[in-house]
Amino acid sequence: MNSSQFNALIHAPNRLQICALLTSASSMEFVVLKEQLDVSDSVLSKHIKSLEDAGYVLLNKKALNGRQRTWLSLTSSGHQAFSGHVKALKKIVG
Amino acid sequence: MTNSNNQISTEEALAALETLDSAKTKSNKSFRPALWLNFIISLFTGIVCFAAPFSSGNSLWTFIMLVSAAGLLISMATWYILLRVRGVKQNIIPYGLKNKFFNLALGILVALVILGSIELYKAGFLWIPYVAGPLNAIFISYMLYSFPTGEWK
Repeated sequence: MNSSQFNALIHAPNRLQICALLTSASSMEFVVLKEQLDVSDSVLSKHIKSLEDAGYVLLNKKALNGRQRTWLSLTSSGHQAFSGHVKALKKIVG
Repeated sequence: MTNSNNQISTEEALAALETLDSAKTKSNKSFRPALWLNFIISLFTGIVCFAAPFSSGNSLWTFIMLVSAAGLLISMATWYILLRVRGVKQNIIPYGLKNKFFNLALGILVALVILGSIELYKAGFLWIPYVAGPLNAIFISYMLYSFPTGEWK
């Protein structure tokens, strides 16, 4: 399952970084990802939506002190797709 | 979506891997415990390792070791909570077999130093705790700084 496979969806720089950051954590807040990537809310939302539609990212919205917090985590297929993509990139580089 | 044919050039793949490296560096920086917390965690680890050989048949050293072990757990929990407040939930067990083995190896190494220091102390090497304690403390401090996510690079 973890074999090297190039993934065009993950390959986009921002999505690649999102996956890389999410592999390091169990889950991460939307705001933290936004700060790390230095992108706007709308740009990040667009990338997250693509990853969510592909089943790679899971969104969990929680309200705390009246403020909505969105936690993001990589699904099992997201982990597999990402590690397969990284292996494919390393294979290309040689 | 998934493309099994390599449709990108070596340069593009290299650029993507550099992007990944930079993302990993960013995540390492944001996961890293503050220096004061790194110092406290390392100090407690060092004290546990230092006190372990003396604790056999000595209730004071046993008490010091247990208090330090509790302090170690509390400081690790503090790190977890501080990160969570900042919007990051740590992986208790990192994803991937390679990373799991890496963390297991680290745990075994620290445990071996502690057990080794106990046995060598019993065998008459009285200086061992003075080396093993700081050794484990420095090692833990380095690992917390360089591998805070628990992932092998």
